[in-house]
Amino acid sequence: MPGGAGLPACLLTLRNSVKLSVAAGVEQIMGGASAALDCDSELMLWVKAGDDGSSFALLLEKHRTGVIRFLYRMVQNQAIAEELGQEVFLRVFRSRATYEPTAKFRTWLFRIATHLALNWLRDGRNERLQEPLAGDAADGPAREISDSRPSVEQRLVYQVRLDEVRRAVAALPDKQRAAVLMHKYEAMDYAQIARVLGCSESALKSLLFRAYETLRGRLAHLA
Amino acid sequence: MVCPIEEHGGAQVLLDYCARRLAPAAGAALEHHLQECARCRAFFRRQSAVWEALETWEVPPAAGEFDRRLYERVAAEGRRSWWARLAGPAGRDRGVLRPAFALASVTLILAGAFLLEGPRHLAGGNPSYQAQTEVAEQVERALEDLEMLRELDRVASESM
Repeated sequence: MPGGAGLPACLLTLRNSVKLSVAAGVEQIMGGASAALDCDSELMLWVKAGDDGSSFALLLEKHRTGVIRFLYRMVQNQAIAEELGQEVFLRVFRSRATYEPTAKFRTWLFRIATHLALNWLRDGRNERLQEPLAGDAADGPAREISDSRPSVEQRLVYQVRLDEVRRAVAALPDKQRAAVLMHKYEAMDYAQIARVLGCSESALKSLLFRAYETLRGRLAHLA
Repeated sequence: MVCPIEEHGGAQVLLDYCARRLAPAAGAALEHHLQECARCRAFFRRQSAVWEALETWEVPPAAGEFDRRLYERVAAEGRRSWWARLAGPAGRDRGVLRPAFALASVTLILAGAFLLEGPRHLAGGNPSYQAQTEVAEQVERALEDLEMLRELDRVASESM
Protein backbone atom coordinates (compact mmCIF):
# COMPACT_ATOMS: atom_id res chain seq x y z
CA MET A 1 0.00 0.00 0.00
CA PRO A 2 1.60 3.28 -1.02
CA GLY A 3 2.28 5.95 1.48
CA GLY A 4 1.57 3.78 4.52
CA ALA A 5 -0.93 5.49 6.79
CA GLY A 6 -1.83 8.41 4.52
CA LEU A 7 -1.92 9.41 0.89
CA PRO A 8 1.31 10.70 -0.65
CA ALA A 9 1.33 14.46 -1.08
CA CYS A 10 1.10 14.35 -4.87
CA LEU A 11 -1.90 12.04 -4.66
CA LEU A 12 -3.65 14.14 -2.05
CA THR A 13 -3.44 17.11 -4.35
CA LEU A 14 -4.45 15.02 -7.33
CA ARG A 15 -7.42 13.44 -5.64
CA ASN A 16 -8.60 16.83 -4.40
CA SER A 17 -8.42 18.17 -7.89
CA VAL A 18 -10.78 15.53 -9.24
CA LYS A 19 -13.73 17.63 -8.11
CA LEU A 20 -12.64 20.46 -10.39
CA SER A 21 -11.81 18.42 -13.44
CA VAL A 22 -9.84 15.26 -13.95
CA ALA A 23 -8.13 16.55 -17.05
CA ALA A 24 -7.36 19.96 -15.61
CA GLY A 25 -6.07 18.32 -12.45
CA VAL A 26 -3.64 16.18 -14.39
CA GLU A 27 -2.36 19.13 -16.35
CA GLN A 28 -2.09 21.53 -13.43
CA ILE A 29 -0.62 19.29 -10.81
CA MET A 30 1.47 16.73 -12.64
CA GLY A 31 3.22 19.37 -14.71
CA GLY A 32 6.64 17.92 -15.55
CA ALA A 33 6.90 14.45 -17.01
CA SER A 34 9.39 13.15 -14.46
CA ALA A 35 7.16 13.91 -11.49
CA ALA A 36 4.20 12.43 -13.34
CA LEU A 37 5.92 9.08 -13.89
CA ASP A 38 6.33 8.51 -10.19
CA CYS A 39 2.77 9.55 -9.61
CA ASP A 40 1.54 7.13 -12.28
CA SER A 41 2.97 4.17 -10.42
CA GLU A 42 1.52 5.45 -7.18
CA LEU A 43 -1.85 5.92 -8.83
CA MET A 44 -1.67 2.35 -10.07
CA LEU A 45 -0.92 1.19 -6.56
CA TRP A 46 -4.06 2.99 -5.45
CA VAL A 47 -6.00 1.18 -8.15
CA LYS A 48 -4.51 -2.01 -6.76
CA ALA A 49 -5.55 -1.03 -3.25
CA GLY A 50 -9.14 -0.72 -4.51
CA ASP A 51 -9.78 3.02 -4.30
CA ASP A 52 -12.99 4.66 -5.50
CA GLY A 53 -11.92 4.61 -9.15
CA SER A 54 -10.50 8.13 -9.30
CA SER A 55 -6.91 6.87 -9.66
CA PHE A 56 -7.82 4.75 -12.65
CA ALA A 57 -9.73 7.72 -14.10
CA LEU A 58 -6.62 9.88 -13.78
CA LEU A 59 -4.42 7.27 -15.45
CA LEU A 60 -6.93 6.89 -18.26
CA GLU A 61 -7.22 10.63 -18.76
CA LYS A 62 -3.47 11.05 -18.87
CA HIS A 63 -2.57 8.15 -21.15
CA ARG A 64 -5.65 7.55 -23.30
CA THR A 65 -4.60 9.85 -26.11
CA GLY A 66 -1.02 8.62 -26.27
CA VAL A 67 -2.00 4.97 -26.30
CA ILE A 68 -4.69 5.36 -28.98
CA ARG A 69 -2.41 7.59 -31.06
CA PHE A 70 0.34 4.96 -30.95
CA LEU A 71 -2.09 2.14 -31.75
CA TYR A 72 -3.63 4.10 -34.59
CA ARG A 73 -0.25 4.60 -36.22
CA MET A 74 0.55 0.94 -35.68
CA VAL A 75 -2.63 -0.52 -37.19
CA GLN A 76 -3.72 2.49 -39.28
CA ASN A 77 -7.38 1.97 -38.51
CA GLN A 78 -9.19 4.20 -36.05
CA ALA A 79 -11.84 1.68 -34.97
CA ILE A 80 -9.27 -1.07 -34.41
CA ALA A 81 -6.97 1.33 -32.58
CA GLU A 82 -9.77 2.25 -30.19
CA GLU A 83 -10.74 -1.37 -29.70
CA LEU A 84 -7.15 -2.27 -28.89
CA GLY A 85 -6.96 0.80 -26.65
CA GLN A 86 -9.95 -0.50 -24.71
CA GLU A 87 -8.18 -3.82 -24.32
CA VAL A 88 -5.01 -2.10 -23.09
CA PHE A 89 -6.80 -0.27 -20.29
CA LEU A 90 -8.92 -3.28 -19.48
CA ARG A 91 -5.71 -5.29 -19.06
CA VAL A 92 -4.31 -2.59 -16.81
CA PHE A 93 -7.43 -2.84 -14.69
CA ARG A 94 -7.34 -6.64 -14.68
CA SER A 95 -3.67 -6.65 -13.68
CA ARG A 96 -4.20 -4.31 -10.74
CA ALA A 97 -4.04 -7.12 -8.18
CA THR A 98 -0.65 -8.32 -9.35
CA TYR A 99 0.80 -4.92 -10.32
CA GLU A 100 4.30 -4.18 -9.03
CA PRO A 101 6.01 -0.91 -9.95
CA THR A 102 9.14 -2.57 -11.31
CA ALA A 103 9.16 -0.29 -14.37
CA LYS A 104 7.77 3.12 -15.16
CA PHE A 105 4.02 2.90 -15.58
CA ARG A 106 4.16 4.35 -19.09
CA THR A 107 6.71 1.75 -20.16
CA TRP A 108 4.50 -1.02 -18.83
CA LEU A 109 1.46 0.51 -20.53
CA PHE A 110 3.21 0.72 -23.90
CA ARG A 111 4.47 -2.79 -23.48
CA ILE A 112 0.87 -3.96 -23.27
CA ALA A 113 -0.16 -1.74 -26.20
CA THR A 114 2.74 -2.91 -28.36
CA HIS A 115 2.08 -6.54 -27.53
CA LEU A 116 -1.57 -6.20 -28.57
CA ALA A 117 -0.74 -4.28 -31.74
CA LEU A 118 1.96 -6.74 -32.81
CA ASN A 119 -0.39 -9.65 -32.16
CA TRP A 120 -3.10 -7.99 -34.20
CA LEU A 121 -0.71 -7.36 -37.07
CA ARG A 122 0.65 -10.87 -36.83
CA ASP A 123 -2.82 -12.37 -36.97
CA GLY A 124 -3.19 -10.82 -40.40
CA ARG A 125 -6.51 -9.25 -39.55
CA ASN A 126 -5.18 -5.98 -40.95
CA GLU A 127 -5.54 -7.38 -44.44
CA ARG A 128 -9.27 -7.10 -44.38
CA LEU A 129 -9.76 -4.34 -41.84
CA GLN A 130 -7.08 -1.80 -42.64
CA GLU A 131 -8.55 1.48 -43.76
CA PRO A 132 -7.66 2.72 -47.18
CA LEU A 133 -4.73 5.06 -46.82
CA ALA A 134 -6.90 8.01 -47.75
CA GLY A 135 -9.52 6.87 -45.26
CA ASP A 136 -9.00 9.79 -42.91
CA ALA A 137 -9.37 12.41 -45.56
CA ALA A 138 -12.63 13.58 -44.05
CA ASP A 139 -11.45 14.20 -40.51
CA GLY A 140 -7.66 14.23 -40.65
CA PRO A 141 -6.06 16.66 -43.04
CA ALA A 142 -8.61 19.44 -42.62
CA ARG A 143 -7.64 19.57 -38.97
CA GLU A 144 -3.96 19.19 -39.53
CA ILE A 145 -3.17 21.96 -41.95
CA SER A 146 -2.34 25.03 -39.95
CA ASP A 147 -3.99 27.41 -42.41
CA SER A 148 -7.63 27.60 -41.42
CA ARG A 149 -8.70 27.70 -45.07
CA PRO A 150 -6.41 25.44 -47.08
CA SER A 151 -6.87 25.56 -50.81
CA VAL A 152 -7.90 22.46 -52.71
CA GLU A 153 -4.39 22.22 -54.07
CA GLN A 154 -2.87 22.45 -50.58
CA ARG A 155 -5.20 19.73 -49.38
CA LEU A 156 -4.30 17.48 -52.28
CA VAL A 157 -0.57 18.01 -51.79
CA TYR A 158 -0.98 17.34 -48.10
CA GLN A 159 -3.00 14.20 -48.76
CA VAL A 160 -0.42 12.81 -51.18
CA ARG A 161 2.35 13.51 -48.69
CA LEU A 162 0.43 11.94 -45.85
CA ASP A 163 -0.35 8.84 -47.91
CA GLU A 164 3.32 8.43 -48.71
CA VAL A 165 4.26 8.72 -45.05
CA ARG A 166 1.61 6.20 -44.00
CA ARG A 167 2.62 3.77 -46.71
CA ALA A 168 6.29 4.06 -45.81
CA VAL A 169 5.61 3.45 -42.12
CA ALA A 170 3.19 0.61 -42.87
CA ALA A 171 5.83 -1.07 -45.00
CA LEU A 172 8.31 -1.26 -42.12
CA PRO A 173 8.63 -4.57 -40.29
CA ASP A 174 6.30 -4.52 -37.27
CA LYS A 175 8.96 -4.16 -34.60
CA GLN A 176 10.79 -1.43 -36.50
CA ARG A 177 7.49 0.37 -36.92
CA ALA A 178 6.78 0.23 -33.19
CA ALA A 179 10.28 1.49 -32.41
CA VAL A 180 10.03 4.43 -34.82
CA LEU A 181 6.59 5.43 -33.55
CA MET A 182 7.69 5.43 -29.93
CA HIS A 183 10.91 7.25 -30.79
CA LYS A 184 9.39 9.87 -33.07
CA TYR A 185 5.94 10.54 -31.66
CA GLU A 186 5.97 9.44 -28.03
CA ALA A 187 9.30 11.01 -27.12
CA MET A 188 10.41 7.88 -25.31
CA ASP A 189 14.09 7.40 -24.62
CA TYR A 190 16.10 4.41 -25.85
CA ALA A 191 15.97 2.61 -22.50
CA GLN A 192 12.19 2.85 -22.35
CA ILE A 193 11.65 1.68 -25.92
CA ALA A 194 14.12 -1.17 -25.46
CA ARG A 195 12.24 -2.26 -22.38
CA VAL A 196 8.91 -2.11 -24.19
CA LEU A 197 10.26 -4.20 -27.05
CA GLY A 198 12.21 -6.53 -24.81
CA CYS A 199 15.60 -5.96 -26.40
CA SER A 200 18.90 -4.35 -25.46
CA GLU A 201 19.55 -0.66 -26.07
CA SER A 202 22.20 -1.44 -28.66
CA ALA A 203 19.82 -3.79 -30.49
CA LEU A 204 17.18 -1.08 -30.42
CA LYS A 205 19.57 1.53 -31.84
CA SER A 206 20.44 -0.83 -34.63
CA LEU A 207 16.73 -1.51 -35.23
CA LEU A 208 15.98 2.22 -35.37
CA PHE A 209 18.90 2.88 -37.63
CA ARG A 210 17.68 0.30 -40.13
CA ALA A 211 14.14 1.64 -39.92
CA TYR A 212 15.19 5.24 -40.57
CA GLU A 213 17.46 4.06 -43.35
CA THR A 214 14.44 2.49 -45.05
CA LEU A 215 12.38 5.61 -44.44
CA ARG A 216 15.14 7.82 -45.87
CA GLY A 217 15.00 5.75 -49.02
CA ARG A 218 11.24 6.23 -49.29
CA LEU A 219 10.64 9.71 -47.93
CA ALA A 220 13.77 11.78 -48.41
CA HIS A 221 12.44 13.11 -51.72
CA LEU A 222 9.67 14.90 -49.82
CA ALA A 223 12.15 17.52 -48.60
CA MET B 1 35.63 15.58 -34.38
CA VAL B 2 35.78 12.15 -36.02
CA CYS B 3 33.32 11.85 -38.89
CA PRO B 4 30.25 10.09 -37.37
CA ILE B 5 29.54 8.20 -40.57
CA GLU B 6 33.05 6.74 -40.66
CA GLU B 7 33.00 5.80 -37.02
CA HIS B 8 31.33 2.47 -36.22
CA GLY B 9 27.83 3.22 -34.94
CA GLY B 10 28.57 6.92 -35.08
CA ALA B 11 25.71 7.77 -37.44
CA GLN B 12 23.52 7.39 -34.37
CA VAL B 13 24.76 10.82 -33.36
CA LEU B 14 23.28 12.26 -36.54
CA LEU B 15 19.94 10.60 -35.82
CA ASP B 16 19.96 12.00 -32.30
CA TYR B 17 20.83 15.43 -33.63
CA CYS B 18 17.89 15.33 -36.07
CA ALA B 19 15.65 14.18 -33.23
CA ARG B 20 16.96 17.05 -31.08
CA ARG B 21 18.13 14.58 -28.48
CA LEU B 22 21.79 15.44 -28.52
CA ALA B 23 23.39 17.23 -25.56
CA PRO B 24 24.17 20.89 -26.37
CA ALA B 25 27.95 20.40 -26.36
CA ALA B 26 27.82 17.38 -28.64
CA GLY B 27 25.33 19.21 -30.86
CA ALA B 28 27.65 22.17 -31.21
CA ALA B 29 30.56 19.91 -32.14
CA LEU B 30 28.43 18.15 -34.73
CA GLU B 31 27.21 21.44 -36.22
CA HIS B 32 30.81 22.44 -36.67
CA HIS B 33 31.57 19.11 -38.33
CA LEU B 34 28.54 19.42 -40.63
CA GLN B 35 29.97 22.61 -42.08
CA GLU B 36 33.04 20.69 -43.21
CA CYS B 37 31.66 17.26 -44.14
CA ALA B 38 29.49 16.98 -47.26
CA ARG B 39 28.67 13.34 -46.56
CA CYS B 40 27.29 14.05 -43.09
CA ARG B 41 25.44 17.09 -44.46
CA ALA B 42 23.72 14.89 -47.06
CA PHE B 43 22.81 12.35 -44.39
CA PHE B 44 21.46 15.08 -42.14
CA ARG B 45 19.42 16.62 -44.99
CA ARG B 46 17.80 13.28 -45.85
CA GLN B 47 17.10 12.38 -42.24
CA SER B 48 15.62 15.82 -41.59
CA ALA B 49 13.31 15.32 -44.57
CA VAL B 50 12.09 12.05 -43.04
CA TRP B 51 11.63 13.72 -39.67
CA GLU B 52 9.58 16.55 -41.18
CA ALA B 53 7.53 14.17 -43.30
CA LEU B 54 6.66 12.11 -40.22
CA GLU B 55 5.55 15.26 -38.45
CA THR B 56 2.75 15.78 -40.95
CA TRP B 57 1.03 12.61 -39.75
CA GLU B 58 -1.47 13.60 -37.11
CA VAL B 59 -4.03 11.34 -35.54
CA PRO B 60 -7.79 11.91 -35.28
CA PRO B 61 -9.00 12.19 -31.69
CA ALA B 62 -10.55 9.21 -29.94
CA ALA B 63 -14.30 8.82 -30.07
CA GLY B 64 -16.15 10.52 -27.24
CA GLU B 65 -17.61 7.20 -26.18
CA PHE B 66 -14.24 5.63 -25.45
CA ASP B 67 -14.36 6.17 -21.68
CA ARG B 68 -18.02 5.20 -21.33
CA ARG B 69 -17.42 1.94 -23.22
CA LEU B 70 -14.34 1.20 -21.16
CA TYR B 71 -16.11 1.79 -17.85
CA GLU B 72 -18.96 -0.45 -18.99
CA ARG B 73 -16.44 -3.20 -19.68
CA VAL B 74 -14.69 -2.59 -16.36
CA ALA B 75 -18.05 -2.83 -14.58
CA ALA B 76 -18.89 -6.01 -16.49
CA GLU B 77 -15.52 -7.36 -15.43
CA GLY B 78 -16.47 -6.85 -11.81
CA ARG B 79 -19.79 -8.64 -12.32
CA ARG B 80 -18.26 -11.77 -13.88
CA SER B 81 -18.56 -14.87 -11.77
CA TRP B 82 -15.48 -16.34 -10.13
CA TRP B 83 -15.49 -19.40 -12.38
CA ALA B 84 -15.69 -17.25 -15.52
CA ARG B 85 -12.69 -15.23 -14.34
CA LEU B 86 -10.85 -18.43 -13.52
CA ALA B 87 -11.58 -19.81 -16.97
CA GLY B 88 -10.17 -16.68 -18.57
CA PRO B 89 -11.05 -13.12 -19.48
CA ALA B 90 -13.85 -12.33 -21.89
CA GLY B 91 -13.32 -11.71 -25.57
CA ARG B 92 -10.74 -13.29 -27.76
CA ASP B 93 -8.10 -13.06 -25.05
CA ARG B 94 -6.82 -16.31 -23.61
CA GLY B 95 -6.61 -16.46 -19.85
CA VAL B 96 -3.37 -17.63 -18.34
CA LEU B 97 -5.35 -19.76 -15.92
CA ARG B 98 -7.32 -21.54 -18.62
CA PRO B 99 -4.85 -24.43 -19.12
CA ALA B 100 -4.50 -24.74 -15.35
CA PHE B 101 -8.28 -24.83 -15.06
CA ALA B 102 -8.49 -27.63 -17.67
CA LEU B 103 -5.70 -29.55 -15.96
CA ALA B 104 -7.36 -29.18 -12.57
CA SER B 105 -10.64 -30.46 -14.07
CA VAL B 106 -8.91 -33.53 -15.47
CA THR B 107 -7.18 -34.17 -12.15
CA LEU B 108 -10.52 -33.95 -10.37
CA ILE B 109 -12.08 -36.40 -12.84
CA LEU B 110 -9.18 -38.80 -12.38
CA ALA B 111 -9.35 -38.51 -8.62
CA GLY B 112 -13.11 -39.15 -8.74
CA ALA B 113 -12.61 -42.18 -10.96
CA PHE B 114 -10.01 -43.61 -8.59
CA LEU B 115 -12.24 -43.06 -5.59
CA LEU B 116 -15.20 -44.75 -7.25
CA GLU B 117 -13.36 -47.57 -8.95
CA GLY B 118 -10.45 -48.10 -6.56
CA PRO B 119 -12.14 -50.04 -3.74
CA ARG B 120 -13.81 -52.43 -6.21
CA HIS B 121 -10.69 -53.56 -8.01
CA LEU B 122 -8.72 -53.69 -4.78
CA ALA B 123 -11.25 -56.14 -3.43
CA GLY B 124 -11.32 -58.38 -6.58
CA GLY B 125 -8.94 -61.22 -7.60
CA ASN B 126 -5.70 -60.84 -9.60
CA PRO B 127 -5.28 -57.26 -8.37
CA SER B 128 -2.17 -56.20 -10.30
CA TYR B 129 -3.55 -57.19 -13.73
CA GLN B 130 -6.95 -55.67 -12.95
CA ALA B 131 -5.36 -52.47 -11.69
CA GLN B 132 -3.24 -52.14 -14.84
CA THR B 133 -6.26 -52.62 -17.09
CA GLU B 134 -8.36 -50.17 -15.15
CA VAL B 135 -5.64 -47.56 -15.02
CA ALA B 136 -5.25 -47.83 -18.79
CA GLU B 137 -8.99 -47.37 -19.22
CA GLN B 138 -9.03 -44.44 -16.84
CA VAL B 139 -6.17 -42.77 -18.65
CA GLU B 140 -8.03 -43.27 -21.91
CA ARG B 141 -11.19 -41.78 -20.40
CA ALA B 142 -9.20 -38.90 -18.97
CA LEU B 143 -7.70 -38.21 -22.39
CA GLU B 144 -11.16 -38.26 -23.92
CA ASP B 145 -12.38 -35.89 -21.21
CA LEU B 146 -9.43 -33.62 -21.86
CA GLU B 147 -10.24 -33.62 -25.55
CA MET B 148 -13.84 -32.80 -24.75
CA LEU B 149 -12.77 -29.93 -22.49
CA ARG B 150 -10.52 -28.57 -25.20
CA GLU B 151 -13.38 -28.73 -27.67
CA LEU B 152 -15.71 -26.98 -25.21
CA ASP B 153 -13.05 -24.38 -24.58
CA ARG B 154 -12.66 -23.78 -28.30
CA VAL B 155 -16.42 -23.49 -28.82
CA ALA B 156 -16.70 -21.14 -25.85
CA SER B 157 -13.88 -18.97 -27.21
CA GLU B 158 -15.51 -18.78 -30.63
CA SER B 159 -18.86 -17.87 -29.16
CA MET B 160 -17.38 -15.03 -27.07
